[in-house]
Amino acid sequence: MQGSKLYQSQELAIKYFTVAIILFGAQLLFGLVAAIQFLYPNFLFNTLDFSIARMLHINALVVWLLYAMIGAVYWLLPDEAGIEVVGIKLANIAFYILTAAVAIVVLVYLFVQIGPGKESTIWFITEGREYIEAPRWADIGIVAVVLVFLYNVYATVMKGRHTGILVVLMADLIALAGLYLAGMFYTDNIAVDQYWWWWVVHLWVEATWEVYVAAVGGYILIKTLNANRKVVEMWLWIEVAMMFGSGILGLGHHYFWIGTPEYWWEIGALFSALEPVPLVGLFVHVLYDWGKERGKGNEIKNTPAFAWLTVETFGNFLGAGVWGFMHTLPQINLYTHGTQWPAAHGHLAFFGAYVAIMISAMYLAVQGKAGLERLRMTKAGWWAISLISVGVLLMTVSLTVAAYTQTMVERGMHGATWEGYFIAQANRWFVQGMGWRLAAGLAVIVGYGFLVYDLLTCAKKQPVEEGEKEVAAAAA
Amino acid sequence: MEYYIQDIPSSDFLSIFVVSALIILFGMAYAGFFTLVKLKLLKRFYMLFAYGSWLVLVGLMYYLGELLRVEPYTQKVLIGAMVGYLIFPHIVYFLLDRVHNRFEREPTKP
Repeated sequence: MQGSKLYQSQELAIKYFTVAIILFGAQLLFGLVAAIQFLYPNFLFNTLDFSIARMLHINALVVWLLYAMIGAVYWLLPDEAGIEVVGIKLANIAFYILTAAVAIVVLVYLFVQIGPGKESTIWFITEGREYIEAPRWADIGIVAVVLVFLYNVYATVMKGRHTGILVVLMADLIALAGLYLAGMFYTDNIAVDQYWWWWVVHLWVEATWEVYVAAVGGYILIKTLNANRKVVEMWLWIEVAMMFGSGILGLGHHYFWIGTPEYWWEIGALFSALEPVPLVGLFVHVLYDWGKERGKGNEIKNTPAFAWLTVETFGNFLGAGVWGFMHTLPQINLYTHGTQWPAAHGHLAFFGAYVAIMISAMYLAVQGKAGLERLRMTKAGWWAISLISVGVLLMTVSLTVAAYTQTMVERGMHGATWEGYFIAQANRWFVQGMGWRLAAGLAVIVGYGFLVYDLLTCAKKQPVEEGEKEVAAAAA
Repeated sequence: MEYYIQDIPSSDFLSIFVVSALIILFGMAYAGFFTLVKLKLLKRFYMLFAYGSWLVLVGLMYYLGELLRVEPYTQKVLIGAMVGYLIFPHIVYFLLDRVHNRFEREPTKP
């Protein structure tokens, strides 16, 4: 069966996914520029400075993930609720407004790279806060668009079916959207400013986004493995409890050195140590389901989506769990903070926890759009998942080598001095680590090329099913 | 009680990073072996590996505490947490088993 009738909301989801994948490409491109500049600081100097390339790299990451997250909700919402999304016309208008605003913000970043930091800068150029650097006019626009999105979700669920997945998403999305407000006001005191800014960044990635992923992951399991809905939903509540239980006060590990009281050392240490616990719970859950489903003959209905979901499970454990715990306790964080350690952790954790599952959701949309009963992995799909996963892992290991050098040389031997910083930057091991990171980044970009090609073509390359052959033969 | 972070010699950095990573890996090995044996996908003999992993985990956690120069009180809390972790996979497995037994016979609504 080729081509199927989609809900208007699902057509909108495809638009969100399309912009998300384009921004993903932009993220990789600006990341590549920044990686080259680490090795050759004069590269594009005064044309695209490191500060701008890095800013675009990390902001594009956040924005494309948000696009993909909104897209995934618009995809599953009518399917779960059993009705078309309420206020879909408004949702379409909001999409175009958001996309226009993102394009303008990126152009301003590129054309106004340096200048005075005035009140007008905050309003029209950039707020200068890592990850959420959009100027205030765009902030207000984002809030308006998100209000439309929340209206769509709430009005639709109220009118349609109330599934467990949707109820968790409703609660989570209101927290996710509400937290953005904590990054919209400015204070003259940098410690106070950072205190609130971390609410957005940390409570997104280690609380509300994790819960979002658990809910969407549950939906993908139902769709790809025909998993029992009630089991998935019951387990979802347990995961929500564990993630919020450890993730909210895990915020403390960002409060070690920003001027907040010292009791955050103990709170941060304790809850950071607890943060891998939900990952263990998730791991036991996956093992349990895999063990129970073996031999039941349940065929995977969307192999690429399921493969990316598997990458998510292991990537999340390694990136967030192993690489997080290696440098998060305050005693060692004193020496690792501000080195390449957080970069190593961040690359694998973002990829494992969020990028992989969003790509999985995109493959679900590809299958739904084509109206295919099953979607199988193509060669291009295997190249994409292999190159991107191995590339990110190698990038993480390379950054870890560079980070270790920094910790030893800059922090251990030279006591975190300015001189120590430059000595560490010139160290052979640091430079080689950065070189390997660049090579791994190139592998990821090639993998991205395969991914885009596969998303566009995999539906057309599916083998004809036996049943369909018989129907075709009978018709002939 | 005020707590001060002790200086750590740079010669201990590598050990701290490696031990921290091993803590997560052995923690996962314990949960993994335990679950696979309970699911009868591994022989009961492998339960020794599960509890062996947990014992190594406790040792590693104690060693990490020493490397980080934590206070005696914190060291006790860490070991107490390891006792909690001994129970954790049991609780998760119990919850999963009960949830599956309760809902598995009901028809699936994809």
